[in-house]
Amino acid sequence: MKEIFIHSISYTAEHLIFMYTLVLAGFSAFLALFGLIEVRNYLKRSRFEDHQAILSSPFTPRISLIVPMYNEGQTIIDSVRSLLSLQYNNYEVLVINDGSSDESLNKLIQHFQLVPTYLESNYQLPTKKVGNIYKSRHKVFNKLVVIDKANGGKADALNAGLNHAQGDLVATMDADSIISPDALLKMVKPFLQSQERVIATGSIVRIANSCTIEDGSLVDVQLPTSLLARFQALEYIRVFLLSRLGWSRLNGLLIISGAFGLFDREIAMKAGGYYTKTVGEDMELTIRMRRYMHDHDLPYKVVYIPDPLCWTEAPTSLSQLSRQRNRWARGTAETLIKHRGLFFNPKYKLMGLLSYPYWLCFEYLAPFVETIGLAYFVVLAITGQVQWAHFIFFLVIVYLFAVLLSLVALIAEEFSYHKYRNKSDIAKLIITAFLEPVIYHPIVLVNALKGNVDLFIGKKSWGEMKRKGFTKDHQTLPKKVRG
Amino acid sequence: MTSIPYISDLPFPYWLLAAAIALLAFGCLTLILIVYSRRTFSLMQERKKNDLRFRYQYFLYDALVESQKNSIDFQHVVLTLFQEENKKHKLDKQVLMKLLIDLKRSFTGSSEAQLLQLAKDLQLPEYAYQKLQNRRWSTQAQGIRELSAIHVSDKAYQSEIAELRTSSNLMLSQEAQISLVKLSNPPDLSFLNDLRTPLSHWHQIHLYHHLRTVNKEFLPDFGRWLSSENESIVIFSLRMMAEFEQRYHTEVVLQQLGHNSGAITLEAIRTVKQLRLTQAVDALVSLLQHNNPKVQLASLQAIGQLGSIQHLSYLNPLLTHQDYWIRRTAQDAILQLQQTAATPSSSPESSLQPSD
Repeated sequence: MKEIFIHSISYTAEHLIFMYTLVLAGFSAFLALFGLIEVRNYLKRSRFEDHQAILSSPFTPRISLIVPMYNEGQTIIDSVRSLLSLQYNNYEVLVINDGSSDESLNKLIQHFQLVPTYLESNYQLPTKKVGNIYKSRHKVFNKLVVIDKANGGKADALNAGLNHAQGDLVATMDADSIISPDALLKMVKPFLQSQERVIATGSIVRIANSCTIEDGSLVDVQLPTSLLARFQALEYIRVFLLSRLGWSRLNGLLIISGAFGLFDREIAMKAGGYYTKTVGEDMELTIRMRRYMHDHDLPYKVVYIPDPLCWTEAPTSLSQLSRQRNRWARGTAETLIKHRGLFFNPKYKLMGLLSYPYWLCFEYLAPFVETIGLAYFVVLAITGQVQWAHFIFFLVIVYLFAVLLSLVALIAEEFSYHKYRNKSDIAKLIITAFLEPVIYHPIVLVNALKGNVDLFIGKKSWGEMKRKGFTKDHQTLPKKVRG
Repeated sequence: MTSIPYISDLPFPYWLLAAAIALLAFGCLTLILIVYSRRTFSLMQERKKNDLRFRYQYFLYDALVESQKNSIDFQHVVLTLFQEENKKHKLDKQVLMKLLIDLKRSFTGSSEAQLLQLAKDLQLPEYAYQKLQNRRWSTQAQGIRELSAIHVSDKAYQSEIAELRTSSNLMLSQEAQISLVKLSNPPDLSFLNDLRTPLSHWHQIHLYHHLRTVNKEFLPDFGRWLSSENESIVIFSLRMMAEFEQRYHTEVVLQQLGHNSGAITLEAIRTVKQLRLTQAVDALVSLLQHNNPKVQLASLQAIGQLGSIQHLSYLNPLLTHQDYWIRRTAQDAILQLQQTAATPSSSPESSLQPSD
């Protein structure tokens, strides 16, 4: 009886893990194919797009760019300066000081000659208390609005921004990210072009480590010198170029990256703004906006564009990376749990029948399945039941598939934007692709599991990342970001 | 249960492992080869094109100097130079086309006409026209763009382009529609008569971009499309009427304020504001009760601009409205009306200005 039981368990486990791996690989290949088609079509269409017409048009929608700021004194002046000179004719920049304890706000007040206005605060979306709303005396900075509020976290700051935004569209970004001068111009395109209502767009995010930044703008792209940052550079290329764009083609995106995204303000407000009780507020809002559209039977689209418009500093130490991935895992878990009603719910069409199940099974549960698989293998190894030839065979196949996917992403990058111009960079990225599954992947796996444990024991913090900063003391000379 | 064997009991597929490893090795090598050869090849191509461009540009300047020095016809000199070049090395028409289009942007009047004539003499319209016969939409669109850039007004070419303006490919149809606007005088907007699909904001922006280069006298009366059943066409027409200050059909514009579509009402308010149709203020006041907050806000802004001190009684109650933006916009509008009453010519300060 006992033997039959053990036999049944091992039989089921073996087949389940095998099937899981097969379906995951199939999905990845399918998304990669769709992602490649999307990049190709986008680039083809881009040849006929005249941005000059948008730049000088009186019919472009107003965009409010919301920048939450918390202790960003080191970089904020350069960041805001570059944001005020973006190529778009109808936008405002709302910097939300989320109760910084450093000199961030004072620096802004001095540099941009800010003075308080007598505008009342808006609490349509509930937020922590808003203090002064500042505008500049200087006409050159008339696009800038600074809102000072009590500390309430990133989502709370973004909600304060949504409350005070005048634009039809709101762009959100991290204060430490760098966006290209033409970022708004390109991000607004899907909103103008689509026949269906577009409720959110995102762009490809890239790693800024080792790149040269001047006055808050990216002037030279280099592959990160730090191996950890390079792993992330490759990971970002693969995830954004293949997976996100694949989902975009299917209109099944569940996340617009918090690093840089553009949203329809009306829908974001009606959906209830950012949810402050999660660390994955970007994914949560995207899902809630989509749910709102489904609930009201409104046709819509969520779009990703392949232009690399946002550059962000990647963690270069294991502890920083650990905190970031821990947070991402908690954010994903919290969001998926909150929206569990979507699971195979035909009312939400593709989102309920494909996107949500995919995220649950292959993004969220993957670390657990992998861990169970490893544990199962250890038990088999101890009891001497491992057929080593088969084990090595499957291990090599899985490894090769992972590497192959990265290589496909690199080909896509080469034929689309080839941001890494040095010939040696591609060779370095290929080597990184071979190392990633054995060095980087286990780190990500462990931290994803830790994130779930933290969620279970009730840990809620964001886990502050100490930025090295793109420039120091507002030097005007170009500076390389370390790593 | 045991009808399906254990995976680990299956015969070991060595060939599959070998194939996978070989595939990956091949993939890596291919990637490296593709990257290196592509980069080298595109660098070579770029250099070659730059050299050719420089050479062709040199011919143009050379001919210009020669014609001025010896009082010879520029067209004749430059054509001779290009014909000689064509005998030695076949002319790269794509480079030539791009050069002439770029140069044309910097010139007007007789110089522009000379460049256009040169394009014709070098048979560039035929070259662009060939692209229209291509199977790929991107090549066809490229051909259309080139034909309109070098102002080919030949009826045969235009009718070919006109056929493509109803193409199922949106990019191609839009390119054809814009091209017809550019090539015809007065601009051919007849596609608006029977367009069933929405005219995207993107397309509207691009159409306007070209229409504003046209002499206002030659523009069609956009009021004729205000009765269109296509909502986007009505919106586009209202926008054009406002931008080109067409006041022929103000009554019809005012009627649009009561349109069932919120988007059309919103655009009509903007048009009324831009055309400064003060007779619309009463209608705007009634729109303050509209169920769409965007319409309410736009009406408030318009009243602030077009109204008078008598309208304050409608705005004051809104200062305690539950919606933040209505309160704020009402405040702005009241300030505007008060300032206009005090100094009619001055432009009122927005409440967003610093308090001190």
